[in-house]
Amino acid sequence: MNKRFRAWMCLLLCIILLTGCTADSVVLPSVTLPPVSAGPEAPIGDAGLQQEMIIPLYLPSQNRQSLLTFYETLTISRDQHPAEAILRALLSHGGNSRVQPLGGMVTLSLAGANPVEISGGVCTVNLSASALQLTSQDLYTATLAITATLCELPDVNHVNLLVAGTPVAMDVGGNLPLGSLTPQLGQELPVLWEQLSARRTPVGELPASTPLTATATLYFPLADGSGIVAEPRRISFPGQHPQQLVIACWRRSPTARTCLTAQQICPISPR
Amino acid sequence: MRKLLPLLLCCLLLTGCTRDPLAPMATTNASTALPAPAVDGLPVEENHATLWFRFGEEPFLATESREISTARTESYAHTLLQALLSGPSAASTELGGLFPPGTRVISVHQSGRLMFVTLSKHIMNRFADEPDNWRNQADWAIEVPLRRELAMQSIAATLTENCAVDQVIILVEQTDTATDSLRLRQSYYTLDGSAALADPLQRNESLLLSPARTAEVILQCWQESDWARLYRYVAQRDPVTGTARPDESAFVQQMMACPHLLQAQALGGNVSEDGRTAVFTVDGAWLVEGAEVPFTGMVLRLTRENGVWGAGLSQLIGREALQ
Repeated sequence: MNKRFRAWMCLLLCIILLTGCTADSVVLPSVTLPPVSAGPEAPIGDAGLQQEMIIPLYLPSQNRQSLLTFYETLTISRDQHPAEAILRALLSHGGNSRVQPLGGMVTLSLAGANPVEISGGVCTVNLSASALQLTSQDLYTATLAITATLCELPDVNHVNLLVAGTPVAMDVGGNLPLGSLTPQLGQELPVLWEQLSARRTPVGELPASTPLTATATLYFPLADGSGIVAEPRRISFPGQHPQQLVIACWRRSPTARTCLTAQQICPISPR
Repeated sequence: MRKLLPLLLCCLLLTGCTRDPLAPMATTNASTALPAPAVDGLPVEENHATLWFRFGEEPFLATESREISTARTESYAHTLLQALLSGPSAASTELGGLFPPGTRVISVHQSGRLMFVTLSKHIMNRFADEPDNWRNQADWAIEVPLRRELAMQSIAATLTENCAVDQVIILVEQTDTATDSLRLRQSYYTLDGSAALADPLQRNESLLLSPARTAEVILQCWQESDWARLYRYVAQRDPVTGTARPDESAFVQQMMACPHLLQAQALGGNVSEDGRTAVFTVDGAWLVEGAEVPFTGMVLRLTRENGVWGAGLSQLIGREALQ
């Protein structure tokens, strides 16, 4: 019993001694799990939808000779087209030593629930009736500034202007349409105004006998009836009488477009 | 009595004696001016002078360098001002004069570092092309006072450039009016009838198209997309490529194809020894898809043509690759 006990004790001591054996290796710290990275925070309201963009705004210079570019950092919602926010920033710009406010002494604003619509590269802007306080030249200048600003957006190539939902004319008789505008950068504003004024019907002559060439936006219905699509066209009108303008527009056929083939668009034929 | 009578006769005879026949005495006519001194044949002094004229329709002055011949009978400053009032030479097609027709220099007097210049009353006249209702027209409301400011600054810049003066006081000829001072009034600039005296003229570098100011203006036009104005600062011939300046519409098209220059600052401005080129380093940022893309170290080289600094087209086109 005593021998057996001793043998067991020896065996136990050997085992204990053996457990103390180790190779000549450096004990390395065990690999730990990486720290937990913070996941995306849950959005608070719609704040996560906001993004900051630097936008070029075009405003008339102090001497109203040209349009100058100024840059504004705007907070724009990602789920909305930036055109309306840009336009509101443009209309509310107070001017500075280099540029004048867009409407001068007249405060311009947007009208209606959807004052800015974009279709087929054509942006239609609906200004409130306060724009009618402007002279024709100042309204034209404001329209050029709006056009230059909005056409900085990649999906806007032309701009149509409405005032209180109605197209505006550039003459007293209401015959000369403003048409669809494209940016006229690098040109002096008085020169552009003179070019537009030259299209007016001369005193003593009839609008019907004053030809006009202008860019107009035509709307063609889709072949499947799912909607209409805008297409700006350069049109020569035989005269400036409203009937002549409408008939000349009706006689146009749609052209092939990048996103819609000609077969998808059916023209409206004049009755 | 008999002795005194011959003596009296002798005295009377002696007073009537003369060598030459009597002639009417020459008198000066007070109504005619004294004859001008004969200047023909007098030695003249040739000086190389720098005159400041308006650069096109820009609100700045640019230089024209020429030889000025000064007769010994008048001061150098007087001759300078006469040349300034006469306008730029025919070779400087981009420069224009700033003074109403008939304006003359009446006198020039230097006192220490101060120069007194008296101009004829024509300086107060309006230019022929200024409309009556200029205050109601946005462009003229800026242009009319600007012309007067540039006119006075051209005097100050020319005199401070070529003479040892720091300030210039303008006096205006007064005829048929009673006045307490000949000094130019503040109303010359404001055109509001103000009787306050104008301050002495000092050199205003913000109105002078030095290389640094030209670089600032070019970068400002570029940032503001003011292509028509930027075109005026494009050199007629690009010294780097050797090509002529394109027409304005082609230039505008090329500039519109470039991204927006969001901000820029010109540093340095070393002028070459021959004074024909100046080199700047520009730091700034482009606007690319609504975001700011900074750049550093863009070299802007200006060239001097007929005294006017400008940038070759190659300095403006294709620079967006530098990011």
